[in-house]
Amino acid sequence: MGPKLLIVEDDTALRGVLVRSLNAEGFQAMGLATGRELIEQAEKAPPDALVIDIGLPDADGRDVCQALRSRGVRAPVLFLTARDALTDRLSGFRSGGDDYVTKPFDIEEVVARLHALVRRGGADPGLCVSGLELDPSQLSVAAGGATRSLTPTEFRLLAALAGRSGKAVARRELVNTAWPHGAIVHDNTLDVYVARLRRKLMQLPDAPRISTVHGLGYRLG
Amino acid sequence: MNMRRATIGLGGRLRMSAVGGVAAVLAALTVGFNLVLDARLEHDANNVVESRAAAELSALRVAHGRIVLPEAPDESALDSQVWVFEGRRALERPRSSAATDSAAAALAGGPRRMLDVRGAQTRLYAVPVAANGTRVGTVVAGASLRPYEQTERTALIASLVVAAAALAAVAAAAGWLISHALRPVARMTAQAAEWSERDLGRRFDLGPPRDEMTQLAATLDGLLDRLAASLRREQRFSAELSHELRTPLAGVIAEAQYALRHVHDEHELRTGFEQVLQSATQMNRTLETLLAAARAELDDRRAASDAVAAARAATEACAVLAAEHRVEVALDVPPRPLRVAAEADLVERILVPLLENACRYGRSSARLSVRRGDGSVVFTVEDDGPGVAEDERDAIFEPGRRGSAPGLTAVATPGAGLGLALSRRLARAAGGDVRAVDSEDGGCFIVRLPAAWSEPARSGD
Repeated sequence: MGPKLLIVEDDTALRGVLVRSLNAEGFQAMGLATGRELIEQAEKAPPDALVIDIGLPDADGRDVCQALRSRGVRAPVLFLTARDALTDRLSGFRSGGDDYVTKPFDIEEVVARLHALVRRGGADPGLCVSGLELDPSQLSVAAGGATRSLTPTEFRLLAALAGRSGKAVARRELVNTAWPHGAIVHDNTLDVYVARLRRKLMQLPDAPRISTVHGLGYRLG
Repeated sequence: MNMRRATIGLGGRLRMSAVGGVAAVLAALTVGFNLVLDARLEHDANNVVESRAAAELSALRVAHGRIVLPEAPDESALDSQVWVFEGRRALERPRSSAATDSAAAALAGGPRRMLDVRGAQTRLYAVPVAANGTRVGTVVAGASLRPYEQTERTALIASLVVAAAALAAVAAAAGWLISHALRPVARMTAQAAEWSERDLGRRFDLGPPRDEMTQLAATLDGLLDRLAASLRREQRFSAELSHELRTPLAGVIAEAQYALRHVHDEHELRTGFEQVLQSATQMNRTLETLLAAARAELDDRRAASDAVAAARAATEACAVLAAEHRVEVALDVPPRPLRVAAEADLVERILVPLLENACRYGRSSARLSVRRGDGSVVFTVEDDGPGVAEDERDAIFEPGRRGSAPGLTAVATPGAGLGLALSRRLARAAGGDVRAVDSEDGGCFIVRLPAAWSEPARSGD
């Protein structure tokens, strides 16, 4: 049996041909249309690699990727996108992506990149489940049966922390993940956002707390 | 660079006209001063010879038809040049040059007159001496013109030197003042040129216009604003175009590659071609829509069409998507045609993305209604979906914006061209607008397009 792939792409025609092509190349590919379906499916049966289109109807593909990481999905992620600006590619990597292919692409290149990703294995081995459920399509966080909605920046910040639960994440890395490339973010802006996140997590029963790691950054749990 | 050269030219011209004007005034002053001085000195010289002749006349006596010279000629008489002729014979003759002497002799017996002796720079004044109505002789008084000519020359040179110095000072001052005054213009021109090439975000920001400079800065700022806006529009247009074409193009390429590598039976090949055709049709529709938007933005002439028919066509175009999402689309239109000042095609293209959006996010039903507004035709597209959060109501119209509200995004609406962003763009091109509004039941978008009331449809209602 070939490596298991989950493909999320909202264009029906492109999704169909991708699934057929990748199956013909020896993968076991499954096509999905929305970010929410992808998260459900990834938790049900962990795949060996994910192909995520950035422009999804229900969420930004990069937020979906961060949410997957925070839920402990370690499979490598290949982003597909129609946007090829440097800032777009950088933000793709910062949100936990492992590779980036712009449309239109050569299917052979996608196949080669997916093989390489599967061979090298998943994301950061430090990844562990945080106990938080991040929903990229609702931009919300849930724990212990309660849900709080987040702003896009809060969502990305929390996802970056939750993706490496229990480990300190450097301030610079948090800024790079949560804010667009090149944005000027002051030190206390980050602190203000973390304070807001702390307040929101307090309202969730059984949610982990964000602690300050002096001289470095923050840690979840 | 051309502008810069023109600036220096203006400075040069200003300087030249300032210096020219001052030079003309100085020349007139110098000439006038010297003429006045000349007349004054001429008058003085005449006075001297006249008073000398009068003094000599009063000292003379005439006895028995003969001139009697004063007894003891005073010392000064030796210096002063006075000739006394009796007839043509000189009774008194001062020491003087031969030329003067012969000129004085020539005046003897003549009428009262002035004579300048050129070579000796002397002025002679002849006065007849008469007694009892009989001409007896002639008194000729002379005065050297040398000191007057000296004064005249000195005054001329001094006035020329003063005029030249004043002119040089004016030229220097004008040059400094003009270049000083024009320097900010040259600097702003260079800055504006540089900004327009590299950094369209920069502005002079000199505040509200108070004088010529701040006025110029404000004008340049306005120009840069418009330049930046049109550049942003162009960038967005090409971004939209490439974004919208890339997905179907990727589909076409992948389908062809799949067919070449893996397809061996004819049925599967046919399916592949159908997919390619579908993607190509989608690309064509996107291109047409974008070109229509570009045309509508350029074209000022507004065609008129029937809003009701356009709304019906838009609803039909969305029938497949509505069926896929199991959403019932209701159409609520007036019984008579409603003329709108936009092409039917354009109206349909504005409405379709909104209807597709309603089909995609509505739970079970959507509604498109058309009614007459104040000078406009108002289309309302409602659905019973989650709606749009208040702070996202503008963001959803921006193409490709990260972090849009959950469940709603302007990008990646399959088959819908450019979605909400395009809808708003087209509506604005037609002189109207699209807004997301507050609604209790779900999503609600209002499209306002200018009405074409002058059309015959008016009489109908």
